[in-house]
Amino acid sequence: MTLFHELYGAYFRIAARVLARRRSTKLEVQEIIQEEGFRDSVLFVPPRLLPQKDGSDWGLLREAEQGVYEPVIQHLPEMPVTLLEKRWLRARLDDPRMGLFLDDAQIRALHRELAEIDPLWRPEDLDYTDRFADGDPYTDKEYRARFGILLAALQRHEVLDIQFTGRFGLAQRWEFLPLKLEYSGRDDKFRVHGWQLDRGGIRRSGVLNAARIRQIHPTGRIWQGELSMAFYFEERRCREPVTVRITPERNGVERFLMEFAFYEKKAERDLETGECTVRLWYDKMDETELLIRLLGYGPVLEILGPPAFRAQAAKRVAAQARLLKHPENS
Amino acid sequence: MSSFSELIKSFGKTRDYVRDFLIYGFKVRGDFTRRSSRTYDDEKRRVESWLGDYLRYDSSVRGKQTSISVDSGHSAENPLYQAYYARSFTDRDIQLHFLLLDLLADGEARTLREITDGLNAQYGAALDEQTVRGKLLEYVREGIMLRGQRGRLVTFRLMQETVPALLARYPGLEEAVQFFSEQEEFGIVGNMLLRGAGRRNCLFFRKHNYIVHTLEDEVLLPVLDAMERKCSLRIRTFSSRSAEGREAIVIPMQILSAAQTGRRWLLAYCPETDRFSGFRLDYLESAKPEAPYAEYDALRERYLKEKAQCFGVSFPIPGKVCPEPLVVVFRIDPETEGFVIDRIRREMRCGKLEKAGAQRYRLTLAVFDPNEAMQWIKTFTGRIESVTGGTEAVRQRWYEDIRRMQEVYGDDIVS
Repeated sequence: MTLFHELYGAYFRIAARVLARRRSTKLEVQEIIQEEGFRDSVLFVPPRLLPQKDGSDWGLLREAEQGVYEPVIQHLPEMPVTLLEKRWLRARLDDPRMGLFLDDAQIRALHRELAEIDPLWRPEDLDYTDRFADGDPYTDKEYRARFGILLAALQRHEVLDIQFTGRFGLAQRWEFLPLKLEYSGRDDKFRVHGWQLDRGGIRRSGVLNAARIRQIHPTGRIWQGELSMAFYFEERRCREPVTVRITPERNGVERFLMEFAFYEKKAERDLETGECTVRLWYDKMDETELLIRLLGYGPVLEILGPPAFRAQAAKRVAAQARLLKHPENS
Repeated sequence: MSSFSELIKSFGKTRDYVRDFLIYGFKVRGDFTRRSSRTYDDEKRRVESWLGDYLRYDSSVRGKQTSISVDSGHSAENPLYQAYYARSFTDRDIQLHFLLLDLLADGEARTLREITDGLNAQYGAALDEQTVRGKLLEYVREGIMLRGQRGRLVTFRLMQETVPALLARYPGLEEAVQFFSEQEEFGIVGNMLLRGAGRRNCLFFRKHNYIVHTLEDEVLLPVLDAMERKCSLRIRTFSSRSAEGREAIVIPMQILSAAQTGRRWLLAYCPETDRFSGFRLDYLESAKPEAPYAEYDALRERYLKEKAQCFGVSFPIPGKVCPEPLVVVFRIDPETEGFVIDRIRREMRCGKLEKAGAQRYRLTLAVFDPNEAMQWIKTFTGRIESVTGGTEAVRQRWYEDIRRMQEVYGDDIVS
């Protein structure tokens, strides 16, 4: 059983899609290559997939008439589920989050179906050193029901009437159009991104913690307008990136680049000093989280700008200095 | 004439380049010294073909920097999965694959002779039995072909369940696969399932998404296999600082991930040092299960006991006394800053938090290596009254760090 196997490869997928058609023109083959393949596949695949006079092709198509090709096979090329895929599914059945998508009877049935299959891993094989302790209650019946409503509305572009507990403990009620569900492995929580609506129009973007939703009702209203995630995230993006300088002390550069790998960023290194200057773009909602994580690097990292962001760091450092100077703490 | 191909035979070499393009966006051609410049050019061209839209080029005084720029929290699909879809194959592999699928589409069991004759008669394939047998056995191992018996003859038949059929039988399963296809644990396999059904994830994002971890999935498989079979493991690691690798025989215990720093380790017992050590997965070149380890269960028990004393992955050294607990006192107003107390509680791991006064909260961390907690403790800069216990070196460094940060930011404060 192999993970890196041509059975799953892009070229096999291209061939399968072309062979599933009774007849294809060269142009149609190229379109499939562009959809399934890599950027340059259109250079490499056609001379192998389409019949060649010298027989250097894969022998899967023949020319039915000029410029039109048909498969040499009779049936649809249907690929069975592989052992790797079954073992992965079996491992996933042990995950409590599976209950957010399948009901208990379905999970039991799938368990029975995969009874002879060893899971690809067991829950105790993998663990986190630092996952937050207050993850979402995935097995809670009401949470599962609310999650199901969210997921269905998201797929249908349906507007929801949601009551939830806000960040400072205040009860709120929104007319809300969900766009995407987001999961954080660190927080072990689901959040839903969407538009808060007001009298049928978009008021602003919003992110709700799934576990803080108290009441959720589908309204039956389907959103007909455009749903652009690029526009949504642009609205949430910081105006200016944060610029930081990291020194090589304590392996700071490597640690930083790894930790902040998921941010959109641009890095430059000074060869003489080994220092690295990085610009990071972030979601405005995450500004405080970003600030404290940067402070965690101590003097190995300096926040260079923007000035308002640097000022927040300076304020905390000054507060820290005051606490240490206090006679009670000396 | 160039023999360049988009496809690759082994994953290891490519894995290094993709990782460096993603993590170290500032590297130029001359920085890739582990292999030749020609290799660099080929690997870069492949990555450009796989990840075209994500490649970024910047000019620096040292040359052109190539980087992979991904806002992974806003990507519905890990772009690095593309590397797994670039396995090379022979002309015979692809031809035989589709002809076998066609010939055996009826699900009937056939002998090797029947299959070979069928391939040659129906498709004019000119195949010999040895070639066909090799492919059939390979497909038995991959689970798409079932081996059986007819009298004394071995038979083969094609498994009939396809991914679209499986997803159709379990409403909701497709959404589950969409979700899990972007999770850390072999999300690539979920993506393979989706692709097999002509689907893609369009519902979920993953925050704090270290997409680079997928590059470690291939080397992770034999590690998990060794843990399942309670075997020792021969590992080969490499270092970012030197081209020299290192080989060791270890007893694998668990894979640990740091969700906040993006690092992952194989935690394993090293008989040479009688200690559990963490081996970074991104520096693990290869892993091969060896013989079953007789004392595995007892070792696992000891591992779990010692793990309870760790803030990260630094395990006790036999014979070395555990330092006294690290004690951090925070100044927090519970009326207006209750969220800080909540944050400590959810992030303190094995720590113990107590109220120590009107606006004072005392966190006690009885851990083997208090230094591992210090980066996290510094995220509370501005709220720490004192740091005591632990080791002298840890305390000194923290006070020194605060002094140096004051030097850096001190002039910014206008009182």
